[in-house]
Amino acid sequence: MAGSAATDQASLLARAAGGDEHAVASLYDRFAGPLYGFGLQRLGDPELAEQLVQDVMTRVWRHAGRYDPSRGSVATWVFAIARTTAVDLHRRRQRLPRTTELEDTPSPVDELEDLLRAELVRAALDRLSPEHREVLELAHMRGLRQVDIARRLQLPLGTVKSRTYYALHAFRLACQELGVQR
Amino acid sequence: MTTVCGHDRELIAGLVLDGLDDVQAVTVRTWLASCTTCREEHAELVPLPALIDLGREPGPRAPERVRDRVLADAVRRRTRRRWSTALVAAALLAGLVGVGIGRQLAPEPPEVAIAVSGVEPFEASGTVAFRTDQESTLVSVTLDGLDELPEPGVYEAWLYRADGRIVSIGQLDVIDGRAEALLTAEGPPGTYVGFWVTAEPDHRDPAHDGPTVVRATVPHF
Repeated sequence: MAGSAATDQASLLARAAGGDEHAVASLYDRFAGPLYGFGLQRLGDPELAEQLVQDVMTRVWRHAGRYDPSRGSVATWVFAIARTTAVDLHRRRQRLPRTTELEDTPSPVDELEDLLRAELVRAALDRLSPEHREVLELAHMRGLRQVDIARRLQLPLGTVKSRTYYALHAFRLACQELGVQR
Repeated sequence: MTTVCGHDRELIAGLVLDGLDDVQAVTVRTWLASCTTCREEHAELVPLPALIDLGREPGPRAPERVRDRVLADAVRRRTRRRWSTALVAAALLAGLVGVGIGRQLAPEPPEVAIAVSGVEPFEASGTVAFRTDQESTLVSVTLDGLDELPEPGVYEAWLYRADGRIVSIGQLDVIDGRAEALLTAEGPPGTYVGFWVTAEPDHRDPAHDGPTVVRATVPHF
C-alpha cells in the first residue's frame, strides 16, 4: 500500500512536469503544510517560512522532470530541496542587521518526515466516517471505556464495540493507503 | 464477531484503545497469550493509538497567498509554452520558419549544460546546467566523486559576477559521493561569468575559505 502512495506521488510529479497545474496543486497541498512547519522551526520567522514554501514548491514543479525514482521517494527529493532552500534563506538573512543563528538541530530530513507523517495521519483521520472518528476520539482521545461511550451516545454496547473495531481498521487501512510509516 | 479460533476479536480493538473493563481486559490478554490469530491482529492494531496522537493537533498552514503564487506561476508558464507551441506551428505552416516570429514569441529559453571536472586534487566530475526565467538564473548541479567532508565542512556553490563579486547560491548535500541540487541566483545569466564549487571547512561561516573543487565558465545566453 505504501508503494501505491509512492507511485501516486511520482505520477503527480510527472504530470506536473508536463504542465498540469492540477498536479502542481495536489503536490502543493501534500507538502506545503510540512514545509511551512519546517520553515517555522528552522528559520523562526513566518515570512521566511512562507518564502521557503514558495521557493521549494516552485523548484519542485519546475524541475519535476529531473526527479529520478531510483534515487528515493518524491518526499526525499522534496526534503533535499527544502534543506538547501532553508540554508539559503538563513544565509540571506544573515546579511541583514538582525541576525539569528540557525541552531544545530536534529537532521532537517527527520523533522520534515515527522511533519509529513503527522500531515498524512490527519489525512487518514479525515477519511474516516463521522461515526468512526467519533468513537476513536471518545475511546482514545477522551479515554472513555466502551460502556461509557455507549451511555454517552445512547447506543447498545455491542454497537460501540463493533463500531470501534471497524473504526480502528478503517484508520489502519487509510494509513496504509496514504503510505504512513508506522 | 468471532474468528476461526472462536474468540470475539472486536474486543481486541477495545483492549488496544484501553476501553475494556478489568475483567474483559484480562480475558482478552489470556486469549492473546495462547492464540496466534488474535495475537497477530493485536500486533497490527497496537501502533495505531500512537499514530492517532500524532495527528491530533492541526498542522501548520501556509497562507493561501503562497498557494496562489505557486499556481499562478505554473499557469503562466503553461500558457506561455502553449502559445509558443501554437504560434511556432502556425509559422511553420505559413512557411515563415524561425527568426522573426520566433524572437517575438520569446520561446522557453534553452538550457545549456556543460561538463565539469575537478580541480586538482579533487576528482569530482559531472554536469552543470544553466537556464533563465529572465528574472533569475537557475543552476542544476550534478556532481559525482565527492569525498565526505569532516564535520562541519560542506560543499558550497558560487557564482562569480561580471563585476567581480562572488555570490553563494547554496550548499550541496552529498550522498554516496553524489551531489544533486537545483539552485537559483538573482538576475539573468549575463550577470555571471563563472561557477565554482568549493569545499568549505565550516558551513556556519558565510565567508569563502575553502579550496575550489570544480570551476566552470557560465555560458552566454
